[in-house]
Amino acid sequence: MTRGTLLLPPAWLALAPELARACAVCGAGANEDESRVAYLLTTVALSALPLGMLGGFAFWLRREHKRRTRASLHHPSS
Amino acid sequence: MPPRRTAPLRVVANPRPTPLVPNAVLGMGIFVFTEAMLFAGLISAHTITRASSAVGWPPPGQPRLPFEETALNTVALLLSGAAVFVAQRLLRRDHQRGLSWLAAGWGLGAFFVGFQGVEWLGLIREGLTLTSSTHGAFFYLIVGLHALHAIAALAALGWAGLQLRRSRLPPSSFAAVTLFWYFVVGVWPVIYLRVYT
Repeated sequence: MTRGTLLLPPAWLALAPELARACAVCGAGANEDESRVAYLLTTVALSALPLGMLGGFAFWLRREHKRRTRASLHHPSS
Repeated sequence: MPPRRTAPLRVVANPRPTPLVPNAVLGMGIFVFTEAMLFAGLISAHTITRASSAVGWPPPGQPRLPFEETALNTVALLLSGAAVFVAQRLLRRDHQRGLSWLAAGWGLGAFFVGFQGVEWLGLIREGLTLTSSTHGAFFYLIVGLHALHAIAALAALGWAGLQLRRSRLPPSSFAAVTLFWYFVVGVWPVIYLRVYT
């Protein structure tokens, strides 16, 4: 099976979400467009937040480690 | 008898170097991470419920949240975070001035919590309660949870201040307490802009 064939079902679902709307409450609101945008934005926020926090921590650790290594090279006794 | 040859003395690296992140700060960081996700979940639920509301937001018969008045409170909390940051910097060089800034930060934080208490009394009088509507339920849940965090962080800051006055607090413990306070300060503007507007 080619990579293109493998990617087809998820791409189809992403481009045509109407067909994949299985959640009973997704269309329950009166403002369907507004709630769809809210679902999308909160999904993005909830997915990005933990990754962002962990990524930020890893970046800070790396920077701190580099800074400390540099300092110990300049002052080996410390 | 020829002298025994011994290995020359050599300087070895400290077998237990200072950790990059002290244990207290790491522990608090993990706690703050989970709390950030808790608030993110609640704010997401609020955003979706509000967007799906068929009767508008706030629902009919429910009071509008005091956005303008709370702006003043928001400024007080942000200033408190800034004061604690200055205190953290100053404590290394000028202990007494650092303690004064810490007291100012604590006072501004206490003002924030007190102001919120007054605001809640007004809203309850206007008919906004935990069971009056989804609007009220979300408001008291999210803002109340934040207030609980603020009270806990204020207690921790107060304890840290007392210990610092007696010079009995390790810097890592103070850093952990301030991290908690920065979280309380940092999450508030998000709550304010999502819940109060």
